[in-house]
Amino acid sequence: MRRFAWRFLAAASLIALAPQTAAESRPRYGGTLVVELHDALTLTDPGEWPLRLVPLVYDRLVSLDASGGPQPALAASWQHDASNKHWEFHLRPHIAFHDGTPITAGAVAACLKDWINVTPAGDALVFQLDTPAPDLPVRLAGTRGAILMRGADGTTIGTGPFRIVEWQPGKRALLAAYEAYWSGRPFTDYVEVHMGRAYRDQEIDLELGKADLIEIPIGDVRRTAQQAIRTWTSSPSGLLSLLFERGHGPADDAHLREAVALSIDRAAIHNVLLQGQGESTGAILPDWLSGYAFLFPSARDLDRARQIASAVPKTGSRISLAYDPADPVARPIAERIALNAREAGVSIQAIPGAHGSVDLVRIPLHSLDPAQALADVGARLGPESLVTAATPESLFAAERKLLEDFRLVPLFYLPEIYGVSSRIKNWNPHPWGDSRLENVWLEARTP
Amino acid sequence: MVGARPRSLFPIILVSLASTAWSQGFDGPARALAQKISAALKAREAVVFSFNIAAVVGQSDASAAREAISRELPSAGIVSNPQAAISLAVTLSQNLRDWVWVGEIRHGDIREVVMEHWPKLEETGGSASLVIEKRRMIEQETRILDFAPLGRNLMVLDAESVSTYENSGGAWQRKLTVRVPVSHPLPRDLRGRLFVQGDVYQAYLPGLTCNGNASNGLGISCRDEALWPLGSNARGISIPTRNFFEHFVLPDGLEKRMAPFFSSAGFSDHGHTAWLFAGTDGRTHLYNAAFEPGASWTGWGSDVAAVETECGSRTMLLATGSGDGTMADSVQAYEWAESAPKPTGDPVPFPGPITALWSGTERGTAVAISQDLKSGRYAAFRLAIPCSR
Repeated sequence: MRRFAWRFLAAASLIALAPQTAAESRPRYGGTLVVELHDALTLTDPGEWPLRLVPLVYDRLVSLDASGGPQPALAASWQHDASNKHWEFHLRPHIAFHDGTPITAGAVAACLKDWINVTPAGDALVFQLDTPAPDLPVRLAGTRGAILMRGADGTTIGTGPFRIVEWQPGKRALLAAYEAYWSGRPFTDYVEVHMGRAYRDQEIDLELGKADLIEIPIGDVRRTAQQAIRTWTSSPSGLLSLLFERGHGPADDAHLREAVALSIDRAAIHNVLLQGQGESTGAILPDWLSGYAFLFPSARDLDRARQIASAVPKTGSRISLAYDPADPVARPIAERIALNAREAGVSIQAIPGAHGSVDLVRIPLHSLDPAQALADVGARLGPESLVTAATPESLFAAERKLLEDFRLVPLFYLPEIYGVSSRIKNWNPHPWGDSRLENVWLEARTP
Repeated sequence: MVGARPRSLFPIILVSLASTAWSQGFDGPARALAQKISAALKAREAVVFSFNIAAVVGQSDASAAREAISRELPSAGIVSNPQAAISLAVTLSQNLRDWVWVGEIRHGDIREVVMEHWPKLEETGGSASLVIEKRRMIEQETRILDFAPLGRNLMVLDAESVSTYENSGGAWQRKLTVRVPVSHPLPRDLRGRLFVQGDVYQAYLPGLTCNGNASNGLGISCRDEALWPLGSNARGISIPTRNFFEHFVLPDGLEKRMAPFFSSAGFSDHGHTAWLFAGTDGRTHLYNAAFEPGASWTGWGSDVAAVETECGSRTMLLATGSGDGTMADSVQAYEWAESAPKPTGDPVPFPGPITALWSGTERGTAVAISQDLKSGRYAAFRLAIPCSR
């Protein structure tokens, strides 16, 4: 009798443990993963989507591994000539857009031709470039390399592991697992994206189990840590900077802009307002991407700022510094910059809005190819800069040229911080933020 | 050319796999940086030198970097003098994929920056992106020499026969067998290769070439011919009574007499095919596209194989470990980077010595045969290098 009881207890223990063990060890198919965003996405311009979401719907010829190395995606292989100007990418066979249309070299070339010189040749794509592009595969892995097809109304049809099945502009998108995806169907059935959600509402939804992946503003990091919310922080990948508009009176004076740049106490802002998140920078590209960001000074030099400002003719007009009122850290940072500038003798007033004499802007990183990332930023300064540099030396020279007139003043590189629900398994995003939700699976909800 | 970075195939390299760690390769780039700095300075111009590290490196790498630049600067004619008017700050930095040497020369307000960059070498194991998937296919008492997919079935060459297997409920069941008509005694350390195309197959044993057809009851006919396919469109002439090759036939048909070798692997380095040979002298020998000998090293086993992965047209090199037939062996993957093999991922362990390691007939795969130390049985494994990892 006693032996039977012990056996029963042992068996009962195994039964009790079995479902939990099974759920933890093997990927589980099914479920809907809910993502919440502060901003709205558009169906016509995925190039403006966050880097972490683009690959869900829009595949590229090349993807990147965790080290940033190129890996085959829609292209199964590629080769190039000795000069790195002529490249051929061979498409993976039997792949299709989400509507079933075969992905042909012609379709891919049509998608990319406005950006880069590419022509179809059988199942291959031929890139003929004017300058050597040894990192072309990495460039093609960026947001601009997303392969899509446009409908007559401008909406897009993708190629990634999830397909769009419902779209409520500015509110909600429902993405369904693409059964025919070349590298295997994602584990979750759906990803539901809620747009325009206030940060506080996102946090509440996460706590209530209504959301699985939310955005956490930098100013809330310490508080969420105290609440034991599971968070994940990307590499610093968004550049917060000052962008001086052209034709705005005193801000058009390069010496005045230099005085403002030298007056900013980045260290204090970083420690206090940004709670130590991200990194201060005087460079456009983050150090983890360029390796030379330390060559651009970011320390405050108030004496030099005063000296320069004193030589600028006084116009009496005040410079307006516009900040995004929806960004919780933008206002205090803008106000601190205005205070710093006044200490140097430059009068700046922080105002909410999109445009002032100078704008506090956040420039996202859309490519892990340093030359492309630099060109993207250069485009913000006017006509797209031709940044084709391939070596750190030439990149450094190009970056220094972009910064020499102080129209763009880099301030901080900021990470993206997510709150992640405990039911997300295999959460293993790339350091720069690509969420790789196709690899994620969801723990079954307990009734 | 295939690959993303220009590489020179044959600089002077000293490969010492027995050393505790792979050097991160500071020396060459340090030399190049020193030459750039030298070019930026006037002859005999002295500098105040400082060295910084802006990269995440271990103490040994930091020391190696400092030693490399400290050695190369004087060699390039750069003189250090604490009283000099010119400052030279050399920084070891890094970005996502590369190490970066940065030399910053300041003379008053004049500033010049020179740089050198080169790919990082990943540590073995850890978070390496490459994983070898090892799948046990079949196991039997008779020594397995090779196997290949036959549609959805499997064809196996062993020391006695060619057999087909069908998958039944997850297990491979032998269906047809035909004995290989051997005309001469085979070596004790028997090796063989099997290739299948449609229903037609070719089996190779030392000094023997056989053809057969799976749709014809595995009908087989053999002739005394010693030319084996060795991968990358090259062939080797097997010695009928030995377990090695002495002649190597290049893809263009040119036959080369070689020091005896057990196995070879052809791989693409920037569009040119280079070759590795596991020699009977216990060393691995490197030959360039012009078939000129280059470096050689110890530490690898007798079997090497090249695997064309689907990961960006990369070729991975697989090599058995060193040791004798009484020890469990492993297979280590290497990536060819900067004119040297770079270990990638962890060694894949086997239950005993590896008796065969071949490039698979399926792209991205290899075949490994191991004799279990406990049971003495032979097990055939399919090794795959998936891109999704």
